[in-house]
Amino acid sequence: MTRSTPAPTESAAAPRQAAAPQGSPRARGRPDRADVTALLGAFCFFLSAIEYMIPKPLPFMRLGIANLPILLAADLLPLPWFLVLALVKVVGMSVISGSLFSYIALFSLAGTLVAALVMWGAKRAGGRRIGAVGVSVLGAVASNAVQILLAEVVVFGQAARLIAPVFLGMGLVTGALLGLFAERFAETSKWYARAAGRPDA
Amino acid sequence: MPDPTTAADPSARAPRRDAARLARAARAARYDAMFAPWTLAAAGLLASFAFLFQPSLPLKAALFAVFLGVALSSGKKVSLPATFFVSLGIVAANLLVPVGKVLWRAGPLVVTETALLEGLDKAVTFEGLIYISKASIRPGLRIPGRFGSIVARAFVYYDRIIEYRGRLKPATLFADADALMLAVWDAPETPFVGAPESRPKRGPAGCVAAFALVAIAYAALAAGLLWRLP
Amino acid sequence: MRLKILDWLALVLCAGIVALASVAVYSKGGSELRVVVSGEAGEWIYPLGEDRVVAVKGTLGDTVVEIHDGAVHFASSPCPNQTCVAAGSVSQPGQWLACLPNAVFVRVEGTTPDDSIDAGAY
Repeated sequence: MTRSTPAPTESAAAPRQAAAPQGSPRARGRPDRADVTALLGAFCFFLSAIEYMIPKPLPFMRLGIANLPILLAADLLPLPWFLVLALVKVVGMSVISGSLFSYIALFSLAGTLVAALVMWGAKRAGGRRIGAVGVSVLGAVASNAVQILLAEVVVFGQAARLIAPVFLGMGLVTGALLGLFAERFAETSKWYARAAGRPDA
Repeated sequence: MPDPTTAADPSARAPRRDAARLARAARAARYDAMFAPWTLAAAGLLASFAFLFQPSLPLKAALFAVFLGVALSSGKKVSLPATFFVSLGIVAANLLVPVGKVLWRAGPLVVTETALLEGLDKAVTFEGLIYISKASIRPGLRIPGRFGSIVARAFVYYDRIIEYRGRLKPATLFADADALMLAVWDAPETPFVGAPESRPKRGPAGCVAAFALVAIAYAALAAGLLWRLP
Repeated sequence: MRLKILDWLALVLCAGIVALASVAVYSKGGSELRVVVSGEAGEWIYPLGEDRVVAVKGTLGDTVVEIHDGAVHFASSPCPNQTCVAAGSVSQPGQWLACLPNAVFVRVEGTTPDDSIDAGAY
């Protein structure tokens, strides 16, 4: 993978304190949505790098942890920015791993867009009666279903159906766990409160 | 992506692996000095289309070998065992549903011609696209426009996440993750990493080579299509 | 933190989808039917579920076998009596069709060994 060098020299030389710049535009009022989108996109890259390092029994199996920032964003961003985030995730990850012109990017695009749209729809339709777990599970299962269909057409042929139940079941489990994480994180996170425009919440 | 091989490795194989990594880095430097990122991306996209629609399996396999060679010379990590086993999996999956002339039979296992060719075609396509993509998408590629600037901004944040020195402990995962988000968001601005680098002067050789690759891919496509004519 | 009503509903819905998919895929016991055609030059296998027309070389010439809507029949044959074309179509495992003059045989097989034995008993 490229970008393996952890530190671009300029930023490595810079001081790394995490002091919040007082009076920065972010400290008050609604934060810049492009900025929130970029930060969440960066976390997608990071989580997919972690996902890449977790050993798996089948090379095409994925835990989908890179969709966590998208799940968080369902409450933070309006629809256009939410979709931009999904595209930033797909394009950025494909540029980092160099897979932009391969089927892998196609799988990523289909899975991510479907997950994002289903999550958004579930959130809007469910309102206050649905939490991150429900949103996450629906998104994960829909995303895995689309990827299985694509795998049948593009690589495996009919045999893809044989792993479909396993793949969908995995989406159910990982989706529920990610949902629990997101729910808890959104409740306790100071960053989340600030990104949502509630700095003092 | 963090490269697992950069981790300290106490085993005796470490020096050899280091040497291999250095050789790869040298190849990457040579490659990037020759090609501008956008030339490569355009050539890669055009070539991958010609590859995707190549109807003849032998020609497709030949193009695959060319793409593999280009990916090797680009300094990208190329794992032949991984390619082999993924391809084997794709072919085996396609053989599960027998279609076409029976070539070979052993008990319940049947190898049929159409299914085998289909599996081989899909495996070669899958892996070939990965290699041409690896060779043509370089880290220096900057996407233009407002969308591109957001992606570039995300890369800046990504670098900060990788450099982050805090720990994520299971016991305090939520607080630690929150600290990470805040630290990355509030870090003082450093000179923009994605700023237009001092552009190295590249000769015409890169453009010629990239054009040659695209020409080869389309010549093969034309040959494959003519071949298929009744 | 508590799960909300629609969270439970989503979980139940998705569990139902997984269960349905498992039943659909695994309960059939791999009983995907296939057509086995044998002629002079060897044996061909095709899924019964996909429409397709194949020409198989026999001793007299090409017999055309057509798979259509989950059943298989002889569409045309170079043989003099045309009994095989008149025989109509078959779709159940173990059933078979033959064109004796042209030496082309067609049988429907399940993927379970039992079906193959039945089919082999003709």
